[in-house]
Amino acid sequence: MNRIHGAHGQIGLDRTAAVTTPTYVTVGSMNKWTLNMARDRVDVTAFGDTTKVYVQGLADVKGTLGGWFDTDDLEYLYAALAGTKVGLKLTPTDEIPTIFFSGLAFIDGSVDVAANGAVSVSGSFAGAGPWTLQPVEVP
Amino acid sequence: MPKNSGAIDQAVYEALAGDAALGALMPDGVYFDRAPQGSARFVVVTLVPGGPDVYAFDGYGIETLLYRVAATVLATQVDAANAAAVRIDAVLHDQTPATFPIAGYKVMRSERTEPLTEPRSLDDPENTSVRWLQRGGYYRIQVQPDV
Repeated sequence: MNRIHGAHGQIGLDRTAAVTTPTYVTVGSMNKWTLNMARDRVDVTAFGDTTKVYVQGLADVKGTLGGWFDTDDLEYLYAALAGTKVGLKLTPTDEIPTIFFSGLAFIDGSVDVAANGAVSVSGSFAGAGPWTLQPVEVP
Repeated sequence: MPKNSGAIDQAVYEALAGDAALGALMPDGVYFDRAPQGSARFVVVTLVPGGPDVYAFDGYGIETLLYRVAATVLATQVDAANAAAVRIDAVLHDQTPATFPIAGYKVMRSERTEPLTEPRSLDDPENTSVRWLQRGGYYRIQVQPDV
């Protein structure tokens, strides 16, 4: 068992959306990401079943990203405005960089400016292709 | 990068002590926590709890420090205290990295959060015939470390 803290999380972005050899650039000043891999479930319970029965559909990869607006790193916002698919790499901790989620995604973003706080950015993404978790599970 | 919050204290001190107009009003100087015995017109700066550090993934975050800044005079010198409070505000409120340099940091926001509201007239504990007056405010300094 090796539990980890999120302080060294990381978000990587490949604006070329390369499938085979993506080149991820770390997005600066970010401090939060979430990844949801929920799947549709359909109730197929029939007469005679002793419990409810479901069948499950494809994973609907979605998530959120957040951080501080960084005047030296606008790459994420450029990508959000461009609207084209990107490669996204989400690492729980860069202290173990071999463990990460990655795949193609569409991203969007928002900027929050308030007179009484630091300027922050946030956004969401949705899968635009297959997603994997590295290292790949060995059966 | 290790944090050196003392550099922020130093910047606050240098900004206040380096202001000629404030120096003319408070000729006995600027001090952290306590002024020397015999001082009559001075500024006392006290660091009070300001807020937790917040972080980004790359380890660089935002520090927030809150300072109580009080021009302190004998109670008969209220005009000097009020004028000094105006100078304190001019020196600390709404500064930029260019006007408020901090070694190792950049100021993101400096602002008065409130004027002094606690009892501002104080009996001298060592001489009950003397009464002191304070004017000034609480100043929040929000900074990010240089990368």
